[in-house]
Amino acid sequence: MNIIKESLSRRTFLKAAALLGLISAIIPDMLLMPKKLFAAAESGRKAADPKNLTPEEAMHIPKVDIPLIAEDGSLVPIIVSVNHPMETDHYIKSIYILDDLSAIPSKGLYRFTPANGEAYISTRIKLAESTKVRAIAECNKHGKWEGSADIKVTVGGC
Amino acid sequence: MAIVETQKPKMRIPSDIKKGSIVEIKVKIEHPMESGLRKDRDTKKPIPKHTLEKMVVYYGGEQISEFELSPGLSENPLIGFKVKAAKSAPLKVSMTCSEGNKFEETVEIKVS
Repeated sequence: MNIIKESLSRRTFLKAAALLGLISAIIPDMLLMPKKLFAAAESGRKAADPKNLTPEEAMHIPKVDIPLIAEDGSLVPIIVSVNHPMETDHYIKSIYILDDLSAIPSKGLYRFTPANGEAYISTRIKLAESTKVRAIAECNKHGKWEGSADIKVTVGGC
Repeated sequence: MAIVETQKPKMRIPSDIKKGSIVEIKVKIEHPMESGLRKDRDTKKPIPKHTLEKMVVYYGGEQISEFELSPGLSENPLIGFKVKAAKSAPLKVSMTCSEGNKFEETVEIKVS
């Protein structure tokens, strides 16, 4: 009997030790969260399979049109559009553009109404380094959706 | 770069607009879009923040869009957006700057 009791307590001890190890392994990761995770605080639903969009995804996910390579990071043309009808009771409320690695991640918040006819914005942004540029579109009925595009920046412009 | 406080944004609209069509309007303004984070290369002094903060679009007196701009945009911003040309009416763009300047311009949209 004694032996069994001892082995049980040994087992619980090992379990507790393993759990403790797991927690201490996770916590430093959270403390040392990379900068880009902070920038990603704002996010939306992404495409489950970017090659085969469901009709709902194709309607909501913003298309980020940006060059593959930018030679001058201080002036990068970008077009973000959402292929969504702009009806009085169902439309895209806003598009938020941000990137992961610049000192100023926000590239503007653009609010629309059905009178716009299309959720579309074209502008020029500053990028510090090669990064992922993301756009978050908010539908008044179906919440936030996220689209992104990668870009290589040869000379940063922040 | 010094900006002219009384300047008007330049707006470009398509020449021939059909009623009900969706047209792209482009707005250009001269502005440094300074973030306040940069330092002058020679004097090492920080360059004060000076940026456009807001842009509001009115079509026929009604507000149709409100854009919150950020210094993450390039110097001399060029912003394009779309409007459904439902009626002949003035389209007004109003921008405000972090130093309190207001830049406004109106164009007439004539539908055929």
